Amino acid sequence: MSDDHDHSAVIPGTHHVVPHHFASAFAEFDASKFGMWLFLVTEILLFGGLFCAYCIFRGLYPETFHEAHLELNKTLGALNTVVLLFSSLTMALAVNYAQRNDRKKSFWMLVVTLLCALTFLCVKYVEYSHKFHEGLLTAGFYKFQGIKAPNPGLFFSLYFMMTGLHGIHVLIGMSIITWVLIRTKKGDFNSKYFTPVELTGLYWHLVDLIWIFLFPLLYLIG
Amino acid sequence: MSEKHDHDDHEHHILPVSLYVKVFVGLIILTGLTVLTSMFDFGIMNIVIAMGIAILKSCLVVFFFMQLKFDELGNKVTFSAAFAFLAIFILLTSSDLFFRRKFEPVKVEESANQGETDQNKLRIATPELIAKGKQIFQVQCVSCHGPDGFGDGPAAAALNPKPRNYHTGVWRFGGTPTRIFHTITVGSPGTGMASYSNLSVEDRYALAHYVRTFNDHNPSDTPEDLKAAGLTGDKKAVIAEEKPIPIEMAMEKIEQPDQVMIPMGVSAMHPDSQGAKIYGQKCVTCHGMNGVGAQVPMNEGQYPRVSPMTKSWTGLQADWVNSQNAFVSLVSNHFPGSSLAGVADLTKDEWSQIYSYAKELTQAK
Repeated sequence: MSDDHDHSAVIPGTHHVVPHHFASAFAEFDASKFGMWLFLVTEILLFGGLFCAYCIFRGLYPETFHEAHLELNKTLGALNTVVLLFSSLTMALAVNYAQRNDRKKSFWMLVVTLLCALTFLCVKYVEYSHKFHEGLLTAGFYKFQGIKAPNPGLFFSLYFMMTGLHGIHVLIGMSIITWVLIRTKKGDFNSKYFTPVELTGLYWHLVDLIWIFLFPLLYLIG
Repeated sequence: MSEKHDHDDHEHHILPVSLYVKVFVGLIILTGLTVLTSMFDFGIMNIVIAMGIAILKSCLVVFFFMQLKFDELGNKVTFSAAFAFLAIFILLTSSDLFFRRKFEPVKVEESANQGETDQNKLRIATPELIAKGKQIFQVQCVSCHGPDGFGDGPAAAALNPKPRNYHTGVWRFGGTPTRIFHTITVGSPGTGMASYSNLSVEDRYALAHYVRTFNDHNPSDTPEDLKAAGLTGDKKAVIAEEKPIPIEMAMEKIEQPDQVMIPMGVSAMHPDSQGAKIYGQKCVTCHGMNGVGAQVPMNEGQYPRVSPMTKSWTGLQADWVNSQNAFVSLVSNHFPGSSLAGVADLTKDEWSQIYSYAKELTQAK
């Protein structure tokens, strides 16, 4: 209870100093988490624009979307879904172990999460290079001859924009996870202070969440 | 259930590891299910099932992995608000798809007086037709659509929506020969694309074939397209029209006065009169050919994005019809509440020429 009076207290076992404008470490945690949720709201609206464009163009060119989605590799898409879901599990466990003060397990869970993210990007690289090779590119660069329906470039514009923006989020997520990983190794977090791990987790789950919608929309029912 | 740990003033929910594993197994099963159902054709239900499963999966992630189920009420409301606004955004935008008028090709009347076989032949592209189309395009279309069909002609800058760029392969009313023919014939409402029914049927088909050459992916006429255009499209008819049109008949057609090519921007009524020329320069864009009324082209960035329709002058009873003074004062001033900008640069002679021409249009039948 001493936190209430000593406003610039170092959280025991860490180097983290609760800034003086927070009444307690918990108030700080709460505020940080609220900020993260707000940021995630903007992320949803950012992707929302693309999802909206997808809805409109799918409504306008249903045959094109059907024909074009057959060019995507369902197996690789499903593989990536499983990889990303698994990384979400390990990320959640990394937070859980940090809450339980189990630094070592938290560290290894973060390592697995990072490896999953890397696997995801490698699979994406295989997919992208195949598309580039075939000329299945965004409208304007589209060269593929095999699709009869009108404006197939439109589908691939959306495909590259949506998965590309998602891929950038995976990359950003990887760098943040690496940072949290190093800090976990250094022993910056324990059961009393694990805000960065928690917030990184929230971000990573959102990346997963978006893929949960991208996978069926692009690969399965285009 | 969650175990509750109280560390001084900290209060974090620590869920058992087994719960996370169960949620993960659930997610994998749902992923398998969505892949499985996508292999069968349930029609519209495919998307319903896939999105239902995706929403279920995202609920699992949000409630358990992100622990929103155990979070503060404020955070719950905040995050749900994002989805509520996203739903509004997507639903309102998608409503455009449901309320947009469908393109109904109408049987063009020429097909009656010139015989169906004529159009059935013309709808098939030949090098001659394309070459002819190119010539007409260079006269009639370049000012808006640009010399190479990129929609970048000198007049394009003032137009909103912009003229069609034929290289994109995007068509408002369909890109098949008969549909483009139809668009050239009736124009494109709400845009600067006027009706070019003053061109002969052959010229319009020639244009349609030429503008189709800019993109390799333009669709061909389906039997439905042909039926809608009032063309039979069956093999017998196509073979029957392989016979060339007799030259006399073609010459006759060219000499028919109503088939005369009228330079763009000049009204079809007494095209040589001074009044018609002024009308073509200053009035036709908004008032349409022969004052029959048209959609006012929108300016770049205009708000609200509504384009009014001008009134048809045919049979119009108004003060300006009976008095040149009323006409001049109306036209030279900005008319409140309308898009009519004041015209100030006419001489006295020109005023009386445009007045008599406009008056003539109101009396046209």
